[in-house]
Amino acid sequence: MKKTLLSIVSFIFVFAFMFVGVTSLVNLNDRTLDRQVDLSADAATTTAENRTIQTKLKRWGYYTGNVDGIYGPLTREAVRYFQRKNGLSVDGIVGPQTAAALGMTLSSGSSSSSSSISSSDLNLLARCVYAEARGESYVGQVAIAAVVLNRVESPSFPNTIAGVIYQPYAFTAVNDGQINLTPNSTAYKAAQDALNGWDPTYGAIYYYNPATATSSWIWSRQTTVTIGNHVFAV
Amino acid sequence: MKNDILDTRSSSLASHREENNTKIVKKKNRAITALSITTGILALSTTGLAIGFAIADDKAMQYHDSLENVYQSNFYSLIDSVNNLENKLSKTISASSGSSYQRKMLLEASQNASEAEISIASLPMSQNDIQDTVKMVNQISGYTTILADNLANGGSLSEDEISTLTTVHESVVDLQNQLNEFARKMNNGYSILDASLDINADSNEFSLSLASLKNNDIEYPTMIYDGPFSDSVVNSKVKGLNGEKISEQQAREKLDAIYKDAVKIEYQGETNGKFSTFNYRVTNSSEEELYVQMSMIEGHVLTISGAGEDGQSTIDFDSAKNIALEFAKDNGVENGEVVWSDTIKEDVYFNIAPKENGIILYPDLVKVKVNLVSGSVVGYDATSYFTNHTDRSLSKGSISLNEAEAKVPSRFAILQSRLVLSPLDYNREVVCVEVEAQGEGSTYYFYYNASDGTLENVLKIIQTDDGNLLM
Repeated sequence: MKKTLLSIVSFIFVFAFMFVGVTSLVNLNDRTLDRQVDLSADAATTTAENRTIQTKLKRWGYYTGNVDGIYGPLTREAVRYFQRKNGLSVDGIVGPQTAAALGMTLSSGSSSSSSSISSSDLNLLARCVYAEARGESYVGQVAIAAVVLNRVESPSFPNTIAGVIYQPYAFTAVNDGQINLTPNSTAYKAAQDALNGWDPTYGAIYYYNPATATSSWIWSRQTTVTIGNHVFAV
Repeated sequence: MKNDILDTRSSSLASHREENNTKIVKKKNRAITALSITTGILALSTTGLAIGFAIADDKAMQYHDSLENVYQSNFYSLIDSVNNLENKLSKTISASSGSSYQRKMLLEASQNASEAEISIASLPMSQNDIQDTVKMVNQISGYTTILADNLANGGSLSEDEISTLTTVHESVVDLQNQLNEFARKMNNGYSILDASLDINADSNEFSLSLASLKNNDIEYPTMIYDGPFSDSVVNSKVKGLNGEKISEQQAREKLDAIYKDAVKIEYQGETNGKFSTFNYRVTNSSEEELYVQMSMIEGHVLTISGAGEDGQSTIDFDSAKNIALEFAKDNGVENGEVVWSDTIKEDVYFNIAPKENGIILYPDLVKVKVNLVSGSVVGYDATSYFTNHTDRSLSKGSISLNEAEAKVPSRFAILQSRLVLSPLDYNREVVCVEVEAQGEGSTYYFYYNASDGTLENVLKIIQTDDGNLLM
């Protein structure tokens, strides 16, 4: 009888723990697992940085564990997954390149002491290109940047690069947060070309992927060119 | 004995029964235990989930409320801007023409219109629902600026302009009425965010409610002017291509002649925008992939887009410059001069302008991007050249270079000066003396009108992390 009572009590405790887990919307199993192997993990990043890594990976659907700042096997696996998906060398370690791709700076990295102003327009444009068209050819990426700049010029759209990019519902990659990914050098080059006047679409202010476009209205626009998966229109 | 045996039997039976009874009791106990555990689990999980959802819901509500507040703030700013715009326009129309008061009202109206644009574009509405309204306020902003500029130069508003302003004013009144009507609705607890999440085909409930005004009540005015956001600027004509249309095969032959040792050339279809082109993917002899667009009219290379390699430079700046000039020359830009260059990592951008009569023609610029690793041209843009290039009979004007240099404020050190054709405002080209000068920690370019010496423009070099900007 005592044994039964003991087992009931222990059962309740275990379940209580599990539901405490549920209430804070974390998974106890992952947490334990992560903590156990933490000792063997490379301490390349600080706890605060690990938290940032986990938060970002979780937001983009790479990581399902909890955000606890511990670099365990789940986090490592998520990093590997992220690296695979983003064409980085897959080692599961957040080095400078992966950190850059995650949009963060590691504490060990030295900050540049340049006196020049930051090219925020270029950065923003490159992020938009990377988020919207990183799978496209180079010219396909220049074309996306050109559409943003054509919109800035157009009376029917906002008059700044930020205004155009952050216009509600204008770009899906802005809505789902991919705009915060760190662009690679190709996206930067494409954005730079567009800022220097390149426009392979010759005036397009819309683009869509005919395979996934849900808007019926967009099909009525006059097409200027098709590059890769994108149809460009005026 | 019998009894004894019976007794023993009965006692063994009894103990057997007792055993059975104990088993039943134990089973019962177990069932009760199991039941209580299950109940416990259920109770706990329900509580746990409830708390979990409550926490999540609370957070969601906080996000909801802060976003709603941003939208509400934008909406009320929009109403303010439109109310002010209406007010300034009506005062402009009422005031006597040519007065400085009228000019002040026009400038303020322009400001209010651009504020209205920023507010509209920050609201969660689908583009197709708001673009007519955005276009209207942008054009009002451009139109009123141009009118104010004309007044500043001593002009007065013509009857046509007053009549256009009256139509514009009527449209703004319609917009104002619609917005104020909507504001009354919002007093009764309307949520912009909730309405915007209610998706209806290409639109959402909020944009539909607001966009209904576009279809019913607002007549969008036509503003004919040369200036920011005007239709004339948006639809500017291509001046430099007037010859015959060529076939794709002819374009391909021309391309083959340019890329004699290309590894591969593939046709990629057409572009039909401001320019019409045949498009090709060219893998050049350095294995770089380039996207080359050949104009359908006259068959010129119009645009080349290529990423350029990263790595160790194999050529220096001067060789790159020669490669760029040579390429421009081969593609019809005679007498080209590098007027601006910028090195970004392993790519150098050269802006090359042709020279006519000793005057540098800025509007006819071509841009050539040379990669320092492969030493090849990986980018080319001749759209400005073909948009603007035309036979001009330019006169050098009466202001000498020295006279222009004397006009630069004395705190600047003069570096050099030359005659240029400068594109100004919208669709306006003026021969100017360009004076490059250094001072106040930067390099400046001053542009003095070559015929009367007026200062037309000032450009400043701004160093950024990724190269230099001219602003």
